Amino acid sequence: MRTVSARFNSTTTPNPSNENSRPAQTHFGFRTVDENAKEDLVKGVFSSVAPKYDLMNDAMSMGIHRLWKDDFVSLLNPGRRGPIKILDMAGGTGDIALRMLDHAREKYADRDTSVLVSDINPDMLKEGMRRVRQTMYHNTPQIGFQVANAQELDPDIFPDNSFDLYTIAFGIRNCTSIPDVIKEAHRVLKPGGTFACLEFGKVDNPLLSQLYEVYSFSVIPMLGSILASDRESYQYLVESIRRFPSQPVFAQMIRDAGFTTGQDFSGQGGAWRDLWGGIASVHLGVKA
Amino acid sequence: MSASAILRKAFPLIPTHGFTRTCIAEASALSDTAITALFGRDEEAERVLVNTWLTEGVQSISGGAEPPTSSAPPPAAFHAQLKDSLGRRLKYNEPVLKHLPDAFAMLGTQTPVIPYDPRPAFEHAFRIADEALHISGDTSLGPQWYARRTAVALAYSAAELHQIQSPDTAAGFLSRLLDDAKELEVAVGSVGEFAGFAYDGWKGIIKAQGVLH
Repeated sequence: MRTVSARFNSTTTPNPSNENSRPAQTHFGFRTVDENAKEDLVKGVFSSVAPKYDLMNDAMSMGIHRLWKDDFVSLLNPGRRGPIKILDMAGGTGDIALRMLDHAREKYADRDTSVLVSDINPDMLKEGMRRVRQTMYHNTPQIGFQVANAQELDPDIFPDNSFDLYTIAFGIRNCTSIPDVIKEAHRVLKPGGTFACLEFGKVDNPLLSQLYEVYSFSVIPMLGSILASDRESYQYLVESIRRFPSQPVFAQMIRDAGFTTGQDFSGQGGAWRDLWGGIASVHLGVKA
Repeated sequence: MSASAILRKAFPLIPTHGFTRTCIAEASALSDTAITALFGRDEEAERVLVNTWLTEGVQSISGGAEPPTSSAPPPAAFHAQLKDSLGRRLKYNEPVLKHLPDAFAMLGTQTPVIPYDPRPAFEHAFRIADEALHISGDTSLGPQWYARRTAVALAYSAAELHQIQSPDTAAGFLSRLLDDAKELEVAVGSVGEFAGFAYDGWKGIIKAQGVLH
Protein backbone atom coordinates (compact mmCIF):
# COMPACT_ATOMS: atom_id res chain seq x y z
CA MET A 1 0.00 0.00 0.00
CA ARG A 2 2.83 2.37 0.82
CA THR A 3 4.27 1.74 -2.63
CA VAL A 4 0.88 2.44 -4.24
CA SER A 5 0.35 5.70 -2.36
CA ALA A 6 3.90 6.76 -3.14
CA ARG A 7 3.23 6.06 -6.80
CA PHE A 8 -0.11 7.76 -7.05
CA ASN A 9 0.22 10.69 -4.69
CA SER A 10 3.71 11.93 -4.13
CA THR A 11 7.07 10.30 -4.21
CA THR A 12 8.45 12.87 -1.80
CA THR A 13 6.86 14.93 0.95
CA PRO A 14 8.05 18.58 0.92
CA ASN A 15 9.84 19.62 4.10
CA PRO A 16 8.06 22.82 5.24
CA SER A 17 11.12 24.06 7.10
CA ASN A 18 13.26 24.02 3.96
CA GLU A 19 12.30 26.77 1.51
CA ASN A 20 14.22 25.17 -1.34
CA SER A 21 12.49 21.79 -0.99
CA ARG A 22 11.76 19.85 -4.16
CA PRO A 23 8.09 19.96 -5.19
CA ALA A 24 6.05 16.76 -4.91
CA GLN A 25 6.43 14.47 -7.88
CA THR A 26 4.13 12.12 -9.73
CA HIS A 27 4.16 9.99 -12.84
CA PHE A 28 3.36 11.06 -16.38
CA GLY A 29 3.35 7.73 -18.15
CA PHE A 30 6.73 6.25 -17.28
CA ARG A 31 8.28 9.67 -16.70
CA THR A 32 8.44 11.33 -13.30
CA VAL A 33 7.33 14.95 -13.32
CA ASP A 34 6.43 17.66 -10.83
CA GLU A 35 2.87 17.21 -9.58
CA ASN A 36 1.83 20.71 -10.59
CA ALA A 37 3.15 20.11 -14.11
CA LYS A 38 1.18 16.95 -14.77
CA GLU A 39 -2.13 18.68 -15.34
CA ASP A 40 -0.72 20.86 -18.12
CA LEU A 41 1.10 17.94 -19.69
CA VAL A 42 -2.10 15.87 -19.76
CA LYS A 43 -4.02 18.86 -21.14
CA GLY A 44 -1.41 19.08 -23.87
CA VAL A 45 -1.82 15.41 -24.77
CA PHE A 46 -5.58 15.66 -25.05
CA SER A 47 -5.58 18.95 -26.92
CA SER A 48 -3.29 17.24 -29.39
CA VAL A 49 -5.39 14.07 -29.75
CA ALA A 50 -8.86 15.69 -29.56
CA PRO A 51 -9.51 16.16 -33.28
CA LYS A 52 -8.83 12.49 -34.06
CA TYR A 53 -9.72 10.97 -30.69
CA ASP A 54 -12.49 8.70 -31.97
CA LEU A 55 -10.47 7.56 -34.99
CA MET A 56 -7.55 6.68 -32.78
CA ASN A 57 -9.70 4.86 -30.25
CA ASP A 58 -11.11 2.77 -33.08
CA ALA A 59 -7.68 2.06 -34.51
CA MET A 60 -6.07 1.26 -31.14
CA SER A 61 -8.78 -1.03 -29.88
CA MET A 62 -10.03 -2.27 -33.27
CA GLY A 63 -13.41 -0.82 -32.43
CA ILE A 64 -13.66 -2.78 -29.19
CA HIS A 65 -13.88 0.37 -27.05
CA ARG A 66 -17.40 0.81 -28.46
CA LEU A 67 -18.40 -2.61 -27.10
CA TRP A 68 -16.92 -1.76 -23.72
CA LYS A 69 -18.81 1.51 -23.57
CA ASP A 70 -22.03 -0.26 -24.65
CA ASP A 71 -21.52 -2.83 -21.86
CA PHE A 72 -20.82 -0.02 -19.37
CA VAL A 73 -24.03 1.83 -20.19
CA SER A 74 -26.07 -1.37 -20.35
CA LEU A 75 -24.85 -2.35 -16.87
CA LEU A 76 -25.79 1.04 -15.42
CA ASN A 77 -29.16 0.87 -17.20
CA PRO A 78 -30.21 4.53 -16.83
CA GLY A 79 -33.91 5.27 -16.92
CA ARG A 80 -35.12 1.94 -15.59
CA ARG A 81 -36.68 3.48 -12.50
CA GLY A 82 -37.34 6.96 -13.79
CA PRO A 83 -35.19 9.91 -14.89
CA ILE A 84 -31.83 10.47 -13.19
CA LYS A 85 -29.19 13.17 -13.09
CA ILE A 86 -25.82 12.02 -14.36
CA LEU A 87 -22.40 13.65 -14.10
CA ASP A 88 -20.09 12.31 -16.78
CA MET A 89 -16.59 13.37 -15.78
CA ALA A 90 -13.73 13.45 -18.28
CA GLY A 91 -16.51 12.91 -20.77
CA GLY A 92 -15.14 15.33 -23.35
CA THR A 93 -16.33 13.89 -26.64
CA GLY A 94 -19.72 12.85 -25.27
CA ASP A 95 -19.35 9.15 -26.02
CA ILE A 96 -20.81 7.97 -22.72
CA ALA A 97 -23.31 10.83 -22.35
CA LEU A 98 -24.96 10.17 -25.71
CA ARG A 99 -25.09 6.44 -25.04
CA MET A 100 -26.77 7.08 -21.67
CA LEU A 101 -29.40 9.33 -23.20
CA ASP A 102 -30.06 6.97 -26.11
CA HIS A 103 -30.37 4.00 -23.74
CA ALA A 104 -32.87 5.80 -21.47
CA ARG A 105 -34.89 6.99 -24.49
CA GLU A 106 -34.94 3.76 -26.48
CA LYS A 107 -35.47 1.31 -23.64
CA TYR A 108 -37.69 3.31 -21.30
CA ALA A 109 -39.03 6.24 -23.36
CA ASP A 110 -37.25 8.45 -20.87
CA ARG A 111 -36.70 12.00 -22.13
CA ASP A 112 -35.99 13.50 -18.70
CA THR A 113 -32.69 11.86 -17.74
CA SER A 114 -29.97 14.49 -18.01
CA VAL A 115 -26.20 14.39 -18.31
CA LEU A 116 -23.71 17.10 -17.41
CA VAL A 117 -20.54 16.41 -19.41
CA SER A 118 -17.49 17.74 -17.69
CA ASP A 119 -13.84 17.82 -18.75
CA ILE A 120 -10.73 19.74 -17.80
CA ASN A 121 -9.89 20.14 -21.47
CA PRO A 122 -11.95 22.68 -23.45
CA ASP A 123 -10.84 21.18 -26.78
CA MET A 124 -12.30 17.79 -25.87
CA LEU A 125 -15.55 19.47 -24.79
CA LYS A 126 -15.71 21.34 -28.09
CA GLU A 127 -15.53 17.98 -29.87
CA GLY A 128 -18.37 16.76 -27.68
CA MET A 129 -20.50 19.83 -28.41
CA ARG A 130 -19.92 19.36 -32.12
CA ARG A 131 -21.16 15.77 -31.92
CA VAL A 132 -24.21 16.69 -29.87
CA ARG A 133 -25.17 19.29 -32.48
CA GLN A 134 -25.75 16.35 -34.84
CA THR A 135 -28.26 14.73 -32.46
CA MET A 136 -31.76 15.42 -31.14
CA TYR A 137 -30.32 16.41 -27.74
CA HIS A 138 -28.84 19.68 -29.03
CA ASN A 139 -30.41 22.70 -27.28
CA THR A 140 -32.35 20.53 -24.83
CA PRO A 141 -31.97 20.47 -21.05
CA GLN A 142 -30.92 16.81 -21.30
CA ILE A 143 -27.26 17.59 -21.95
CA GLY A 144 -24.89 20.26 -20.76
CA PHE A 145 -21.13 20.91 -20.89
CA GLN A 146 -18.88 22.32 -18.20
CA VAL A 147 -15.13 22.75 -17.97
CA ALA A 148 -14.02 21.49 -14.56
CA ASN A 149 -11.17 19.86 -12.70
CA ALA A 150 -12.36 16.48 -11.40
CA GLN A 151 -10.12 16.82 -8.33
CA GLU A 152 -11.63 20.12 -7.29
CA LEU A 153 -15.19 20.66 -8.45
CA ASP A 154 -16.68 24.11 -7.87
CA PRO A 155 -19.38 23.61 -5.20
CA ASP A 156 -21.51 26.33 -6.79
CA ILE A 157 -21.73 24.40 -10.05
CA PHE A 158 -21.43 20.92 -8.49
CA PRO A 159 -23.22 21.13 -5.11
CA ASP A 160 -23.12 18.37 -2.50
CA ASN A 161 -25.55 15.47 -2.93
CA SER A 162 -26.75 16.58 -6.33
CA PHE A 163 -26.23 13.69 -8.78
CA ASP A 164 -27.69 10.19 -8.99
CA LEU A 165 -24.88 8.73 -11.08
CA TYR A 166 -21.24 9.71 -11.57
CA THR A 167 -19.45 8.17 -14.52
CA ILE A 168 -15.84 8.48 -15.62
CA ALA A 169 -14.68 6.44 -18.59
CA PHE A 170 -10.98 6.12 -19.50
CA GLY A 171 -10.29 9.41 -17.75
CA ILE A 172 -9.34 8.81 -14.13
CA ARG A 173 -5.88 7.47 -14.88
CA ASN A 174 -4.97 10.88 -16.31
CA CYS A 175 -5.74 12.70 -13.08
CA THR A 176 -2.92 13.76 -10.79
CA SER A 177 -4.61 12.58 -7.61
CA ILE A 178 -7.04 9.71 -8.03
CA PRO A 179 -8.15 9.76 -4.35
CA ASP A 180 -9.16 13.44 -4.71
CA VAL A 181 -11.27 12.60 -7.77
CA ILE A 182 -13.08 9.80 -5.97
CA LYS A 183 -13.57 12.01 -2.88
CA GLU A 184 -15.19 14.69 -5.01
CA ALA A 185 -17.37 12.06 -6.67
CA HIS A 186 -18.53 11.00 -3.20
CA ARG A 187 -19.33 14.58 -2.29
CA VAL A 188 -21.47 15.37 -5.31
CA LEU A 189 -23.39 12.10 -5.36
CA LYS A 190 -26.69 11.84 -3.53
CA PRO A 191 -26.98 9.21 -0.78
CA GLY A 192 -27.74 5.98 -2.63
CA GLY A 193 -26.01 7.30 -5.75
CA THR A 194 -23.58 5.24 -7.82
CA PHE A 195 -19.97 5.84 -8.80
CA ALA A 196 -19.03 4.03 -12.01
CA CYS A 197 -15.59 4.00 -13.55
CA LEU A 198 -14.64 2.32 -16.83
CA GLU A 199 -10.88 2.07 -17.06
CA PHE A 200 -8.07 -0.06 -18.36
CA GLY A 201 -7.08 -2.80 -15.93
CA LYS A 202 -4.45 -5.44 -15.32
CA VAL A 203 -4.64 -8.66 -17.30
CA ASP A 204 -4.19 -11.83 -15.25
CA ASN A 205 -3.81 -14.35 -18.03
CA PRO A 206 -0.04 -14.51 -18.79
CA LEU A 207 -0.43 -15.28 -22.52
CA LEU A 208 -2.99 -12.54 -23.09
CA SER A 209 -0.86 -10.21 -21.01
CA GLN A 210 2.19 -10.80 -23.24
CA LEU A 211 0.22 -10.24 -26.44
CA TYR A 212 -1.35 -7.13 -24.99
CA GLU A 213 2.08 -5.79 -23.96
CA VAL A 214 3.53 -6.25 -27.44
CA TYR A 215 0.47 -4.72 -29.09
CA SER A 216 0.35 -1.74 -26.71
CA PHE A 217 3.97 -0.71 -26.91
CA SER A 218 4.63 -1.47 -30.56
CA VAL A 219 1.45 -1.01 -32.55
CA ILE A 220 -0.35 1.81 -30.76
CA PRO A 221 2.39 4.47 -30.75
CA MET A 222 3.10 3.60 -34.39
CA LEU A 223 -0.58 4.16 -35.22
CA GLY A 224 -0.31 7.44 -33.34
CA SER A 225 2.46 8.63 -35.61
CA ILE A 226 0.78 7.38 -38.81
CA LEU A 227 -2.80 8.50 -38.17
CA ALA A 228 -2.26 11.52 -35.95
CA SER A 229 1.39 12.50 -36.50
CA ASP A 230 1.79 12.34 -32.73
CA ARG A 231 3.69 9.33 -31.50
CA GLU A 232 4.54 10.85 -28.11
CA SER A 233 0.97 11.48 -27.04
CA TYR A 234 -0.01 7.91 -27.81
CA GLN A 235 3.10 6.61 -26.12
CA TYR A 236 1.91 8.48 -23.02
CA LEU A 237 -1.56 6.95 -23.28
CA VAL A 238 -0.12 3.44 -23.31
CA GLU A 239 2.27 4.15 -20.43
CA SER A 240 -0.51 5.68 -18.34
CA ILE A 241 -2.45 2.44 -18.67
CA ARG A 242 0.48 0.51 -17.22
CA ARG A 243 0.79 2.89 -14.26
CA PHE A 244 -2.85 2.61 -13.23
CA PRO A 245 -3.50 0.51 -10.07
CA SER A 246 -4.70 -3.07 -10.32
CA GLN A 247 -8.37 -3.84 -9.88
CA PRO A 248 -8.25 -4.82 -6.16
CA VAL A 249 -6.11 -1.78 -5.30
CA PHE A 250 -8.43 0.61 -7.12
CA ALA A 251 -11.46 -1.03 -5.46
CA GLN A 252 -9.89 -0.31 -2.07
CA MET A 253 -9.30 3.32 -3.09
CA ILE A 254 -13.01 3.57 -3.87
CA ARG A 255 -13.87 2.15 -0.45
CA ASP A 256 -11.39 4.51 1.23
CA ALA A 257 -13.36 7.44 -0.18
CA GLY A 258 -16.46 6.19 1.66
CA PHE A 259 -18.20 4.14 -1.02
CA THR A 260 -19.65 0.70 -0.45
CA THR A 261 -18.57 -1.85 -3.03
CA GLY A 262 -19.03 -5.54 -3.68
CA GLN A 263 -16.36 -7.97 -2.61
CA ASP A 264 -12.93 -8.15 -4.20
CA PHE A 265 -13.67 -10.26 -7.24
CA SER A 266 -14.76 -9.69 -10.82
CA GLY A 267 -18.36 -10.40 -11.71
CA GLN A 268 -21.90 -9.97 -10.46
CA GLY A 269 -21.75 -8.82 -6.87
CA GLY A 270 -18.04 -8.07 -7.12
CA ALA A 271 -16.33 -4.71 -6.75
CA TRP A 272 -15.52 -4.71 -10.46
CA ARG A 273 -16.36 -6.49 -13.70
CA ASP A 274 -13.51 -7.39 -16.03
CA LEU A 275 -14.02 -6.95 -19.73
CA TRP A 276 -11.94 -8.96 -22.21
CA GLY A 277 -9.87 -10.68 -19.55
CA GLY A 278 -9.20 -7.49 -17.59
CA ILE A 279 -7.99 -5.29 -20.45
CA ALA A 280 -10.77 -2.97 -19.28
CA SER A 281 -12.76 -3.07 -16.05
CA VAL A 282 -15.93 -1.47 -14.75
CA HIS A 283 -15.58 -0.41 -11.10
CA LEU A 284 -18.74 0.35 -9.14
CA GLY A 285 -19.35 1.91 -5.75
CA VAL A 286 -22.43 3.15 -3.95
CA LYS A 287 -22.74 6.08 -1.54
CA ALA A 288 -24.72 4.15 1.05
CA MET B 1 -22.27 0.73 5.52
CA SER B 2 -21.10 -2.60 4.10
CA ALA B 3 -22.92 -4.51 1.38
CA SER B 4 -23.94 -7.25 3.83
CA ALA B 5 -25.30 -4.65 6.28
CA ILE B 6 -27.45 -3.27 3.46
CA LEU B 7 -28.87 -6.73 2.82
CA ARG B 8 -29.59 -7.34 6.52
CA LYS B 9 -31.53 -4.09 6.60
CA ALA B 10 -33.85 -5.67 4.01
CA PHE B 11 -34.71 -8.73 6.16
CA PRO B 12 -37.67 -7.16 8.02
CA LEU B 13 -39.28 -6.32 4.66
CA ILE B 14 -38.99 -9.81 3.17
CA PRO B 15 -42.36 -10.98 4.60
CA THR B 16 -44.14 -8.18 2.72
CA HIS B 17 -41.94 -7.71 -0.35
CA GLY B 18 -40.43 -11.15 -0.87
CA PHE B 19 -36.84 -11.78 -1.91
CA THR B 20 -36.87 -9.01 -4.49
CA ARG B 21 -34.84 -6.06 -5.65
CA THR B 22 -37.72 -3.87 -4.48
CA CYS B 23 -37.20 -5.21 -0.96
CA ILE B 24 -33.57 -4.11 -1.00
CA ALA B 25 -34.44 -0.76 -2.58
CA GLU B 26 -37.18 0.03 -0.03
CA ALA B 27 -35.02 -0.95 2.94
CA SER B 28 -31.99 1.14 2.05
CA ALA B 29 -33.28 3.76 -0.40
CA LEU B 30 -30.91 2.58 -3.13
CA SER B 31 -31.51 3.13 -6.82
CA ASP B 32 -31.78 0.21 -9.22
CA THR B 33 -28.33 1.11 -10.59
CA ALA B 34 -26.86 1.01 -7.09
CA ILE B 35 -28.39 -2.41 -6.41
CA THR B 36 -26.93 -3.70 -9.68
CA ALA B 37 -23.57 -2.18 -8.74
CA LEU B 38 -23.45 -3.96 -5.38
CA PHE B 39 -25.32 -7.20 -5.94
CA GLY B 40 -25.65 -7.83 -9.68
CA ARG B 41 -28.24 -7.51 -12.40
CA ASP B 42 -31.84 -8.73 -12.31
CA GLU B 43 -32.25 -12.00 -10.37
CA GLU B 44 -28.63 -12.13 -9.28
CA ALA B 45 -29.30 -9.47 -6.62
CA GLU B 46 -32.29 -11.48 -5.43
CA ARG B 47 -30.15 -14.64 -5.18
CA VAL B 48 -27.60 -12.73 -3.11
CA LEU B 49 -30.42 -11.65 -0.76
CA VAL B 50 -31.67 -15.25 -0.45
CA ASN B 51 -28.17 -16.58 0.25
CA THR B 52 -27.49 -13.90 2.86
CA TRP B 53 -30.82 -14.66 4.57
CA LEU B 54 -30.03 -18.40 4.55
CA THR B 55 -26.58 -17.73 6.07
CA GLU B 56 -28.21 -15.70 8.83
CA GLY B 57 -30.59 -18.63 9.32
CA VAL B 58 -27.69 -20.99 9.99
CA GLN B 59 -26.47 -18.62 12.70
CA SER B 60 -29.92 -18.58 14.29
CA ILE B 61 -29.74 -22.33 14.93
CA SER B 62 -27.54 -22.02 17.99
CA GLY B 63 -29.91 -19.66 19.79
CA GLY B 64 -26.88 -18.40 21.68
CA ALA B 65 -25.97 -21.88 22.95
CA GLU B 66 -22.38 -23.11 22.79
CA PRO B 67 -21.52 -26.72 21.88
CA PRO B 68 -20.72 -28.90 24.94
CA THR B 69 -17.03 -28.64 25.87
CA SER B 70 -16.72 -32.08 27.43
CA SER B 71 -16.92 -35.36 25.54
CA ALA B 72 -20.04 -36.65 23.79
CA PRO B 73 -23.23 -35.72 25.65
CA PRO B 74 -25.66 -38.45 26.73
CA PRO B 75 -27.87 -39.63 23.82
CA ALA B 76 -31.07 -38.17 25.27
CA ALA B 77 -29.52 -34.72 25.76
CA PHE B 78 -27.94 -34.88 22.31
CA HIS B 79 -31.24 -35.78 20.67
CA ALA B 80 -33.14 -33.09 22.59
CA GLN B 81 -30.61 -30.39 21.63
CA LEU B 82 -30.72 -31.51 17.98
CA LYS B 83 -34.52 -31.29 17.88
CA ASP B 84 -34.39 -27.92 19.60
CA SER B 85 -31.81 -26.51 17.13
CA LEU B 86 -33.65 -27.68 14.04
CA GLY B 87 -36.96 -26.54 15.50
CA ARG B 88 -35.45 -23.07 15.92
CA ARG B 89 -34.38 -23.10 12.31
CA LEU B 90 -37.88 -24.03 11.17
CA LYS B 91 -39.23 -21.17 13.25
CA TYR B 92 -36.86 -18.79 11.42
CA ASN B 93 -38.74 -19.69 8.20
CA GLU B 94 -42.17 -18.78 9.54
CA PRO B 95 -42.37 -15.06 8.64
CA VAL B 96 -41.35 -15.71 5.02
CA LEU B 97 -42.93 -19.11 4.32
CA LYS B 98 -44.98 -17.98 1.34
CA HIS B 99 -41.84 -16.66 -0.41
CA LEU B 100 -39.66 -19.73 0.18
CA PRO B 101 -40.76 -21.76 -2.87
CA ASP B 102 -39.78 -18.87 -5.16
CA ALA B 103 -36.52 -18.41 -3.28
CA PHE B 104 -35.50 -22.06 -3.64
CA ALA B 105 -36.58 -22.10 -7.28
CA MET B 106 -34.37 -19.08 -7.92
CA LEU B 107 -31.37 -20.80 -6.34
CA GLY B 108 -31.92 -23.94 -8.39
CA THR B 109 -32.12 -22.15 -11.72
CA GLN B 110 -28.94 -20.13 -11.73
CA THR B 111 -27.16 -22.27 -14.34
CA PRO B 112 -28.75 -21.85 -17.77
CA VAL B 113 -27.62 -25.30 -18.97
CA ILE B 114 -29.36 -27.41 -16.32
CA PRO B 115 -33.15 -26.89 -15.98
CA TYR B 116 -32.96 -27.42 -12.22
CA ASP B 117 -29.79 -27.71 -10.18
CA PRO B 118 -30.44 -29.56 -6.88
CA ARG B 119 -27.01 -28.70 -5.41
CA PRO B 120 -27.99 -25.39 -3.74
CA ALA B 121 -30.93 -27.08 -1.98
CA PHE B 122 -28.71 -29.90 -0.72
CA GLU B 123 -25.95 -27.52 0.36
CA HIS B 124 -28.54 -25.50 2.29
CA ALA B 125 -29.85 -28.56 4.15
CA PHE B 126 -26.34 -29.94 4.76
CA ARG B 127 -25.15 -26.64 6.26
CA ILE B 128 -28.09 -26.61 8.65
CA ALA B 129 -27.53 -30.25 9.60
CA ASP B 130 -23.82 -29.62 10.19
CA GLU B 131 -24.45 -26.61 12.43
CA ALA B 132 -27.23 -28.32 14.40
CA LEU B 133 -25.10 -31.42 15.02
CA HIS B 134 -22.12 -29.28 16.03
CA ILE B 135 -24.22 -27.36 18.58
CA SER B 136 -25.61 -30.65 19.90
CA GLY B 137 -22.10 -31.93 20.59
CA ASP B 138 -21.73 -34.46 17.81
CA THR B 139 -18.35 -36.23 17.99
CA SER B 140 -18.67 -38.55 14.99
CA LEU B 141 -15.67 -39.01 12.69
CA GLY B 142 -14.93 -40.41 9.25
CA PRO B 143 -17.80 -42.02 7.30
CA GLN B 144 -20.14 -41.69 10.28
CA TRP B 145 -19.71 -37.87 10.14
CA TYR B 146 -21.05 -37.85 6.57
CA ALA B 147 -23.73 -40.47 7.23
CA ARG B 148 -25.12 -38.60 10.23
CA ARG B 149 -25.18 -35.26 8.46
CA THR B 150 -26.78 -36.73 5.35
CA ALA B 151 -29.49 -38.35 7.45
CA VAL B 152 -30.24 -35.14 9.37
CA ALA B 153 -30.13 -33.04 6.17
CA LEU B 154 -32.67 -35.31 4.52
CA ALA B 155 -34.91 -35.18 7.59
CA TYR B 156 -34.69 -31.41 7.74
CA SER B 157 -35.38 -31.01 3.99
CA ALA B 158 -38.50 -33.13 4.30
CA ALA B 159 -39.65 -31.15 7.35
CA GLU B 160 -39.07 -27.86 5.55
CA LEU B 161 -41.10 -28.98 2.55
CA HIS B 162 -43.83 -30.15 4.92
CA GLN B 163 -43.74 -26.77 6.66
CA ILE B 164 -44.48 -24.91 3.40
CA GLN B 165 -47.66 -26.99 2.97
CA SER B 166 -48.68 -27.35 6.63
CA PRO B 167 -46.86 -24.94 8.97
CA ASP B 168 -48.74 -26.00 12.13
CA THR B 169 -47.70 -29.67 12.02
CA ALA B 170 -44.10 -29.11 10.92
CA ALA B 171 -42.54 -29.38 14.40
CA GLY B 172 -44.19 -32.73 15.11
CA PHE B 173 -43.27 -34.02 11.65
CA LEU B 174 -39.62 -33.06 12.24
CA SER B 175 -39.58 -34.81 15.60
CA ARG B 176 -40.85 -38.07 14.10
CA LEU B 177 -38.34 -37.83 11.24
CA LEU B 178 -35.43 -37.29 13.61
CA ASP B 179 -36.48 -40.38 15.54
CA ASP B 180 -36.34 -42.31 12.27
CA ALA B 181 -33.12 -40.59 11.19
CA LYS B 182 -31.08 -42.90 13.41
CA GLU B 183 -32.11 -45.85 11.23
CA LEU B 184 -31.48 -43.80 8.10
CA GLU B 185 -27.98 -42.98 9.36
CA VAL B 186 -27.29 -46.67 9.78
CA ALA B 187 -28.63 -47.35 6.26
CA VAL B 188 -26.51 -44.59 4.72
CA GLY B 189 -23.48 -45.84 6.63
CA SER B 190 -24.15 -49.39 5.45
CA VAL B 191 -24.47 -48.24 1.86
CA GLY B 192 -21.12 -46.51 2.21
CA GLU B 193 -19.53 -49.61 3.70
CA PHE B 194 -20.99 -51.83 0.97
CA ALA B 195 -19.76 -49.40 -1.70
CA GLY B 196 -16.27 -49.66 -0.15
CA PHE B 197 -16.37 -53.48 -0.30
CA ALA B 198 -17.53 -53.39 -3.94
CA TYR B 199 -14.75 -50.96 -4.90
CA ASP B 200 -12.05 -53.12 -3.28
CA GLY B 201 -13.44 -56.17 -5.03
CA TRP B 202 -13.38 -54.64 -8.48
CA LYS B 203 -9.91 -53.20 -7.90
CA GLY B 204 -8.70 -56.72 -7.11
CA ILE B 205 -10.32 -58.13 -10.25
CA ILE B 206 -8.83 -55.45 -12.50
CA LYS B 207 -5.37 -55.94 -10.95
CA ALA B 208 -5.61 -59.68 -11.54
CA GLN B 209 -6.26 -58.96 -15.27
CA GLY B 210 -2.91 -57.19 -15.42
CA VAL B 211 -4.42 -53.80 -16.22
CA LEU B 212 -3.24 -52.21 -12.93
CA HIS B 213 0.15 -52.89 -11.40
